[in-house]
Amino acid sequence: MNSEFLILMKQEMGVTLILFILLFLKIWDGIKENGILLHLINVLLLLNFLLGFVLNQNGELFNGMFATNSLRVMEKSVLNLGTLIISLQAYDYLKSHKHLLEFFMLLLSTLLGMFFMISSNNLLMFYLGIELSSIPLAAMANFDMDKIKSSEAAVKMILSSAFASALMLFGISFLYGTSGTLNFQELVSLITGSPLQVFALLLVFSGFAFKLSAVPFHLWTADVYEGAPVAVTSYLSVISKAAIVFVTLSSLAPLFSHLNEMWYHLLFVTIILTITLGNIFAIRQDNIKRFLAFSSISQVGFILLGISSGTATGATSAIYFLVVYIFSNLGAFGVIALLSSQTGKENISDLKGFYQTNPLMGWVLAISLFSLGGIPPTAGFFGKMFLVTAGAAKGNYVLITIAALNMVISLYYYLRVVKAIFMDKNETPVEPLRGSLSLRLALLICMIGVVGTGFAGGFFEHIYQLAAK
Amino acid sequence: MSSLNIVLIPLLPLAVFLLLGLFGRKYLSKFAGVIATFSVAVAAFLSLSTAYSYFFITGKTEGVYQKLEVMKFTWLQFAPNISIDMGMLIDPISVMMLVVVTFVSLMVHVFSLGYMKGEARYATYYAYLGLFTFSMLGLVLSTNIFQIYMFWELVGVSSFLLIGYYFEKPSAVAASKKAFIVTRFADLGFLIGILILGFNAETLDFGTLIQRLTDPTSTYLQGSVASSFLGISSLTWGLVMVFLGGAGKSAMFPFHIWLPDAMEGPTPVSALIHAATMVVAGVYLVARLFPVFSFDVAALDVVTYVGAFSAILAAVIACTQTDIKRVLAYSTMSQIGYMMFSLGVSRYGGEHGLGYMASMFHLFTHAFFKSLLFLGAGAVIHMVHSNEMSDMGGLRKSMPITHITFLIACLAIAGVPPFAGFFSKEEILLAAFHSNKLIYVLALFTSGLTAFYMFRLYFSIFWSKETQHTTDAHHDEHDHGEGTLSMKIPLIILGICAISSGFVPIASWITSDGLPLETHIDMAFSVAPVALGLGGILLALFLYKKANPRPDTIATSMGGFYRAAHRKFYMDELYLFITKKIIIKLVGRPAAWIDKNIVDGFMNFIAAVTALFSELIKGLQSGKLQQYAAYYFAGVLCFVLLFIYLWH
Amino acid sequence: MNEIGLTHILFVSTMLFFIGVYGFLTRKNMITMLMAVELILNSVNINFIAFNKYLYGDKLDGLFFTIFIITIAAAEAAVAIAIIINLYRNLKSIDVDDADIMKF
Repeated sequence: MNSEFLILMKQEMGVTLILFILLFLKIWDGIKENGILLHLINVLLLLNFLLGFVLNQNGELFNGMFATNSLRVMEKSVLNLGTLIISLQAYDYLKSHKHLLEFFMLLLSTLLGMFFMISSNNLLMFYLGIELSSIPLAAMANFDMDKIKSSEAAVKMILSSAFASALMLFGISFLYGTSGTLNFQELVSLITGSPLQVFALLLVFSGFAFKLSAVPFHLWTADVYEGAPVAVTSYLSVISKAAIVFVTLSSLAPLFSHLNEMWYHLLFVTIILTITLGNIFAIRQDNIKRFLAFSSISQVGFILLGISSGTATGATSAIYFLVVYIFSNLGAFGVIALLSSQTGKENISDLKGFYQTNPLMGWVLAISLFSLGGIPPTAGFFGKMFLVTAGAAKGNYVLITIAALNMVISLYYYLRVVKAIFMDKNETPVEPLRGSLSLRLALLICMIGVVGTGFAGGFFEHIYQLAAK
Repeated sequence: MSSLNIVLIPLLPLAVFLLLGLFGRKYLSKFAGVIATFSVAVAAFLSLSTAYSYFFITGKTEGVYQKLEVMKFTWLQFAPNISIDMGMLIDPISVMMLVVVTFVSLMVHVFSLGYMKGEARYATYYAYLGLFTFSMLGLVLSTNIFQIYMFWELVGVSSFLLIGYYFEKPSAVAASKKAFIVTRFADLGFLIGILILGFNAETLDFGTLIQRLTDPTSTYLQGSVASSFLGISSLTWGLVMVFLGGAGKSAMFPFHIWLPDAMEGPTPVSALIHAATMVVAGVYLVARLFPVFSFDVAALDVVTYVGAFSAILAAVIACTQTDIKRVLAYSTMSQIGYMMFSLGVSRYGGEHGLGYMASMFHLFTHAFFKSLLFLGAGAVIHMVHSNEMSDMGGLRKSMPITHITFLIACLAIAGVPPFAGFFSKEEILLAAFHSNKLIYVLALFTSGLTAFYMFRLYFSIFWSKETQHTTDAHHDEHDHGEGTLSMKIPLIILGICAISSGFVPIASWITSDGLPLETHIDMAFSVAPVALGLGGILLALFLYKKANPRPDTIATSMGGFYRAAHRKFYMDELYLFITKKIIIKLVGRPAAWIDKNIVDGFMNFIAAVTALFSELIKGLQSGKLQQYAAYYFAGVLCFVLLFIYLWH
Repeated sequence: MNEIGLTHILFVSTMLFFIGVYGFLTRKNMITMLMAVELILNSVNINFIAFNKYLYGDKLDGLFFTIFIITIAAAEAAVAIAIIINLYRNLKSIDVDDADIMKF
C-alpha cells in the first residue's frame, strides 16, 4: 500500500519534497549565492521531470479522489518541463532578487496544485487543486513589489479569480445538490440535463473559461499579463493554461457527455468569440506581453476547437498543440524576458532593428512567432493544422471558415512583429543583449521543441495511444 | 531510375540552404554562388536522367504511364483511418515539373552569378534560392494532399523571403508582405478544400483519393455528391476551394494583386518564381487532381471562366503598363489564365483530354520563354538601372545577345511558328474551339493582344529612341556592356529552348489518362491565331518602332515613302484613338483602376475595418475590474438564457 | 409554515449569492469587494450543508466541502489583503477604480 502510494503520487511527492528542501534552505540560510540556489532548483526540477518517465502505473488513491494514468503522468511531465524552462529563463531576473526562495515556493505550490487538479477525480480535490494553483500566482504577479503595475495586476487577478471561483463553487454546490456525489465518474451518469443542472454546469464552465481566458471571461488576462513580471506572465500564459486544458479534457468534457449537443454549441459560441476578439485586440497592442496575452487568448480558441470535436483525435490534437505552444510561447517569452531584464523595454516598437544588434535572438523570436502563427515548417503549423482538421470532422464549415480566417488575421500581426525585428529601420536599436547560459540553454530547448516536435512523427501517435485509452 | 537519384533531387538544394544559411555569411560568401549552382546543376542532371528513364524505360506498363511511388512512409497516423504520409510520387506531370523547376532554377542560379555579384548578402540570396527550389521540388513530388499543402506553404515562406530580399526598400517589404498575406488568404480556401475532400474520401493520399472520388460506384463519391451546402454538392465545394488556393498562388483574378507588386524582388527571382515555378503551382494542383475535377463539370466551369477572364484582363492591363517587369508580370498572369481555362475545357481521357495535354504543354514551353523574358529584362535593367520603358530604347546595338534572345522569346509568346509558344497555344485554342466557342473567341483575342503588348515592349526596349543612344555619352555609361558571361549563357540556352521546346512530343507523354495522344497541327486552323499574332506585332511595329531618318531605311521604303508616312500618320491617329480613347480610357484605365483600387482596396478595406472594429470595442477592455466582473456575470447569464430558456 | 424546508434555505442562500454579486460589482472599496466574495462563498456553504442535511444525509461530502471552502477562503483573503496593502503603498488608494492604469 505504501509503495503504491509513493509510486502513484511520485510527481506530487517530488514537488513537495523540493518545496520542503527550499523551506529548509530558507531556514538554514546557508547558501548566500542566488546563482547556486537557482542551479540547484533547476537540477531538482530536472530530476522531477525525469521521474515522470519511470515507474508509471495506473491507479486510484483516497477512495477514488485521486486517479492517475500514463496520460496524466505525461501531462504532468509536460508542465514540469515548462516550469523548468521558465526557471532557466528567469535566471537573469531572479539572480539579484532577494525573495528568490519565496518565488520558487509559490511557483512550486502552484505546480503542485496543478498536479492535483490534473489527477483529481473528485470535485473537492479539483477545487483544492485549482485554488492552490491560483492563489499563489496572484502573489507572484505582485513580485515587482514597488511597481504599481505589478500590484494592480495582482489585485485584478486575486479579486477576479476569487469571484470566478466563488461562482464556480456555487455551480458545484448545485451539482452536488442534484446528484449527491462529488465523484466525477458517478456524476457523469447522474447528469440528466435538468435546468438546474444546466445552470450549475454553465457556472462550472465559466470557471474553466475564466482560467482558460476564453471570451467573455478573459478580461483579466491582458492586464495581469502586462503588469506581472515576465517570468510570471510566461508561467501564467503557458503552464497554468495548459493545466486547465488538460483538466477540461479529462474532467469537464465528460461531464457534458449526456449533453453533447449543448456542449458543442456552447463551445461553438465561445470559440468564435474567443478567436475573433483575441485577434482583434492583439492587432492594436504595442506592449509585447499584452500582445502575447491577446494572441494566447486567440490560441485558446483553437484549442477549444480541437476539444469541440469530442474525439480522441481532437483531444490528442489539443494536447499536442499545447506542447508545441509551450515551446513556442516560451521561446518568445525567453527573448522578451532578456530584453525586459536588461533594458526594461517591453514594446514592439522597441524591437525595430533588433536583428541588427541581436541576430540570434531575433531569429529565436521570429521562429517562435512563426510557430505561434502556424507557419510551416515549424511545429505550430502542424499543431494548428491538427486542431482545425479535428474540428472539421464535425462538418461545421462556418466554424472552420471563421477559424481559418482568423489564422490569416493572426498571421498579419505576428508578421508585424517579425517585420519590426528584421525590416524596420531604427537609428538606435537595443544594444546587444547578453543572456546567461541558463537562458541560452532554455531557448535552445525551445527551438529544438519548435522545430523537432513537428517532425517527430511518433510523438502525436504516442499521445494518441495514451489519450485513446 | 534509381530512387536514390530522385530523393537526391530535392535534398541537394536543401543541403545548400542549410550549408549557406548556417555558414554562408561568415565563411562561404565568396563561393556561395558556385556551390549552389553546382548542386542545382547536379539536381538538374538527375532530373533529366529521371525523365529519360521514366519516359523511355520504366514509366510505361502496357502502354500507359503509371504513377510510381518512389518512396513513402507513414509519417503521422492522424486518426485510425487517416494517415499523413511523406513520399515522392513520380508520374508524367511531376517528372516534367522536376525538369522545368531544376532547369530554370539552374539558369537563374547561373544568371545570378553575374547579376547579384557584389551584393552584401550574396550567400543569403543563394540560401533562399536553395530553400525555394527545395520547397518547389517537394511540392511537385508530393504524394498526398497534406504534404503538398505543407510544401505549398513553405514555397510561400521562401518566396516571401526572396521578394523581400531588398529589405532596405519599403516597397519591397510591403510587396513581400502583401504577396504572403494574399496567398495565405487563398490558401485558406485550399485548406478548407483539403478538409472537405479529406472528410469525404477519408484519405489524404492522392492515389486513393482520386480512386475513391472517381469511381461512380463508390460510396465516397456518392456521399460527397449527395451532401450539399447552399445547394452545391460538397464535392464541388471541395474542388472549388482547392482551386481557390491554386488561384492564389497562380495569381488568378481576384488574387492576382500580389503579382505585379512582387516584381520588387531581384529580377532573377522573378524569372524563377513568377515565370516558371511558383505561379504554375496552381495549375499543377488542378492538374494533379484533374481526374476528380473531370467528374465535376461545375468546378471545371469555375476553373475555365476564372482562367479565361484572368487571361484577358491581364492582357488588357499589360498594354497600359510602362514598367517592363510589370508588363511581364501581367503577361504571366495572362498565360497562366490560358493554362487554367485549357484545363477547364478539358475532360478525362482520349481526345477529350486535349486541353489537359495542351495546358501541360503550354506550362512547359512557357517556363522557358517567360524565364528568358525575365532574365532578358534583368539584363536590360542591370544596364539601364531603371524599370521604365521610357528610359530605354535603342539597346539592340549595345546588347546584341539580349536583343536576339528577347526577340525569340517574344516571337515564342506571340505564337509565331515555329517557335515554342505556337505549338502549345495552338493546342489550347483547338481544345477551346472544340468545347466552348466563347472561350475560344476570348482566347483568340487575348492571343492578338499578347503579340501586341509583347512587341510594344520589345520595340520600346530595343528600338525606338535609336539616335539618342548612339551618342558618346551613352557609350560611357554602357561600359560594362551586356553583363558577364554568366549572364549571357543562360539567355542563349533558354533562347534555344524557346525555339526547340515546341518540338518536344509532350502529347505522347503527358495526357490525362496516361495513353499517348495523337495531335496534329491543322494549317487552316492556325491561320486565324497566327494572323492575329502577326497583326499585333505589326501594330506594335508601326506604333513603337519610331521611324529613324537613316538613309537606308528611307531607301527601302522609297517610292512608297509618302504613302508610308501618310499611313504612319494615319496609324498614329488610329493608335491615339484606339489606345488613348478606347483601350486605355475605356478598358485599360478602368481595369487598372479597378485592379488598383477595388481589389487592392478590398484588402485594405478589410484591414481598416478590423482596425476600426478594434477601436470601437476597445472599451470592453476598460481597465476597471468591476466592469470585467460585470461582463463575466453577463456572460454567464447570457449562456444561461441561451441554453436553458432558448435551447429547450 | 410549521417546518423550515430545503426551499427556504435555498432561498436564503440564493439571496445571499446575489447580494454578494451585487456587492462585488458595485462597492468601490477593495476590502468590501473581498467581503462580498465571502458572502457568495457563504451562500455556497449554506447550499452544501442544506443539501447534505436534507437530501444526502448518509454521507458527509457536503460538510467536508464546506470546511475546505472556509479554510481556503481564509487563505485567499490573507493573500488578497496582503496584495491590497502592497497596492496601497504604491497607489495610496484602495479604490478599485483607481487601479486602471493598464487598459485597452
